[in-house]
Amino acid sequence: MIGRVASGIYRWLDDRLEISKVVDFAYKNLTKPVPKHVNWLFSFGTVTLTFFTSQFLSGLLLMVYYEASAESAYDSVKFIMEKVRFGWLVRQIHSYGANFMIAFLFLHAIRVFFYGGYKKPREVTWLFGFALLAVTLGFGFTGYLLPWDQLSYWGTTVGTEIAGTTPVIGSYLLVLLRGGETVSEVTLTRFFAVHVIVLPWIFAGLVTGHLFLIRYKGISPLASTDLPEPTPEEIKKAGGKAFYPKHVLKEGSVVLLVLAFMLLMIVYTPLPLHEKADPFNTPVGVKPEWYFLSMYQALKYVPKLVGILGSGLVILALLLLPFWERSPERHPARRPVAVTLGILFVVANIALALLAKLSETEHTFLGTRYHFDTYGWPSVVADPVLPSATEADDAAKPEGDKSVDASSDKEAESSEENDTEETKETDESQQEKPGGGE
Amino acid sequence: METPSLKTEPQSADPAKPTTLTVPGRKVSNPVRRRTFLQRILCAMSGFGLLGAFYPVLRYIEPPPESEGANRVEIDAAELPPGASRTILYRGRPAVVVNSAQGYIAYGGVCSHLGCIIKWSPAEQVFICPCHGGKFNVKGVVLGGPVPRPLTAIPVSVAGNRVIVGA
Amino acid sequence: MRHIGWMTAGTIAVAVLFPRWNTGAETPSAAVNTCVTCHAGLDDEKMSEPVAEWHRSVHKPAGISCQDCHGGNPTASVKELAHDPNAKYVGVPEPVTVHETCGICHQVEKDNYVASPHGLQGNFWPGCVDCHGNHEIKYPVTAAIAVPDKCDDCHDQPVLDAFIAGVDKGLKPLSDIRRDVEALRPSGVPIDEILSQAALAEDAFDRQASHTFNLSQVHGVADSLQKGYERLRKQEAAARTESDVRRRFGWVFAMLFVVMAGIIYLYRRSLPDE
Repeated sequence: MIGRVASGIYRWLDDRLEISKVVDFAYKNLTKPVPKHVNWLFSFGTVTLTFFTSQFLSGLLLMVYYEASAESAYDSVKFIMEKVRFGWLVRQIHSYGANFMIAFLFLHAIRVFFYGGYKKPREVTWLFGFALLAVTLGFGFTGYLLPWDQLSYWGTTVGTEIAGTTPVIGSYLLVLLRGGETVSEVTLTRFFAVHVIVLPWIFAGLVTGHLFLIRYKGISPLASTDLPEPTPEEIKKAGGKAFYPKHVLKEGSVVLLVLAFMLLMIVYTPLPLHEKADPFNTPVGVKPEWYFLSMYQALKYVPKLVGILGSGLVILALLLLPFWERSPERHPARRPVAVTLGILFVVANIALALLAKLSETEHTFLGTRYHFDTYGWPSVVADPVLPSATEADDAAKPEGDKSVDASSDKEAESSEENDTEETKETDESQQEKPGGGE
Repeated sequence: METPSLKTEPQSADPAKPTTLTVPGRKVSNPVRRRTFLQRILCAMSGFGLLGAFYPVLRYIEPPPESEGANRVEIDAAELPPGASRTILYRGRPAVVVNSAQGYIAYGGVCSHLGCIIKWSPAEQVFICPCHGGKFNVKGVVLGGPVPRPLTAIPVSVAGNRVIVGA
Repeated sequence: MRHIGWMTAGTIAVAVLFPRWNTGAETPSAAVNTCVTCHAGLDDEKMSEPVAEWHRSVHKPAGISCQDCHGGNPTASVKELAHDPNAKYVGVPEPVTVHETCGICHQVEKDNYVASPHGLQGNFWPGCVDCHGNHEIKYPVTAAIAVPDKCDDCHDQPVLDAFIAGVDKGLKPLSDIRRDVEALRPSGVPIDEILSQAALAEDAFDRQASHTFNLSQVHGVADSLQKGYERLRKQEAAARTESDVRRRFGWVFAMLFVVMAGIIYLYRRSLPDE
């Protein structure tokens, strides 16, 4: 019965607005076959799009309770996580979703590279995709500040500081980004505006273009660009399946699996909210989020100018990839140079990110305690009397979240304990100094 | 060529009667029945999943559990000389405290007509509502205006040099 | 490259768990404390032993070092400058005034102690270090304090047992609640309120009973706190239930998605090829 009502409405609309033309065009494009070589790796793009949708919806919900002012931002996020029903779930979906979206976006870009999907005639698709990557990283960067916790504040400080080292326009850019000399309440409001209105509209436009181009041109074949592209009939004959419903369903199941995985991570290892931002207290070893780590680490090894220009060149090279990488071959097996360079690039980024994670930390390997400096270089910690980590832990009381600031006292009881007698003022009203006197 | 869609009718003549295809050695059930069965299961599970998504969203946008707000407010007696009134926040809502001729009195400050906040008028020794002319006496009783209900009294006590509003 | 899909999935799974790899502490390069480095290398065991003991104490991770009690200059490498009276160096504090030293930070305990039978009336014996040690100070637990050759030199065992029972009644529920609540921290349920209420309760016990050495006082305060502890326990239980419920529903829906993915796959296979 629903079917009859629906087709009745359809006929009524078609009589007046000729929507059947649009529907037929859409149907024709949606049922175009997808080449046979499209395997499970090709789902990464769809997964990324799914996460964008989830980010949009969860972000919308968060905006109902989030307050974008430096005074109340942190408390509003805490309110969402603790008091709003299912607020913890919405916030976790948004926080984890951001990480998953960027991760799958990277995987998607890598997949496109190795399958030569950026080559003629799909250069414009690649350009749109690159812009989408920039916008997504912009989302990550602006969104990261919004909770206004220690990691937000100082991560943004470091990030904008790096942007400020751009030659010529650097200092102006820095002030423009921050809305002042330092990260402040003005920074928060402009990052919020960019995050919830500017970037979403840009993203929507870009993704519409990107998806249209993909459906219009079809998935790139594996043959060389010199050969003509196969027609839909040829693809079908070669064993390609229709995009709708077969391919959609295939990707749908991947999406569901990834969502299930994210859900389990949300309930077992939720992302915490750290301490409230303190502009006077930089936590030890503050670093950007994982997706910026490789560039952050790379910049440490070279002089500032070389670093910025070098990064700029790399980014430009990636953006203009279809224009300088002109081999007609698409299949990875027939592009040994490109594939090798690609693998090296990916491995280098992973290595740099790992080094960044290791830098400025201490770990114990096989009984010896190593300290890793800012370049990731280890040195043995020379303290002959240092006990093993477990002994000191037994002596200490249970401690709270130490991930941001290892040296601060978080135990509730030790409010009286402080570094030196000189810095303690509050409890000294009646104290008498020992022997030595003032 | 007919393209299959999720709403395709089964191609066999009578879906109610299962036709079994015999393949040498194995009995294979009607593939169309299997497809419809899977479709139905999928619909049911998607429905359940959507409900599982819709329910939290609904609860999320409902107002969160009330945090009561202070149900005990202390005012310095010096800030409330005889004849003076103050509007404070009590249990999350405005309330009016007056050091009247009859002693300290306090009432919930929200007029029951349309929610405006009442004021104490020292000249007339009454509470008035500035929106539509509601008037209340020192006991909170409605004296005039379109007010449906009298003011709610709040217990006031004195402890030393502090006026305690509430419990 | 046939199983590229599985390899990618495996790599992703491993990578996603990567944040858990970093269990090492983020520590700064510690500024060198010359008291520690000099004394650690001295031949006289009486001079070097305290350093090793301090390393095992609770003061070390809390950031309390030699100069906080003994005074002196922890950045000077020359003995005379390090032991400079102008830098408030006092050496070994007098036994009769050692509570003043500890009392710089532990004000409440000091005030209660001075007013107690062990304080002014008892000529400040036993002092802080007689029960808590001086360098290898651990978090005080009653078992560590009332050991043979300490309190039982003057007190009868029944009295000691009653005293320990009182302190345990006042503090053990708190430490149990704190431990259980902290265990909930990774699950993301809100625990800050419970912890701050626990801190208030401990503060109440410290102010009213800790180091008063008054048996009836200790028991009285401990009894008065029990109701609050029951409330805290209820809150902890509620938080634990919340965490369990979230995980259970997480599993239910995650499995629902997985099963749906499987059914979609089967459904796809049942679709005829064109």
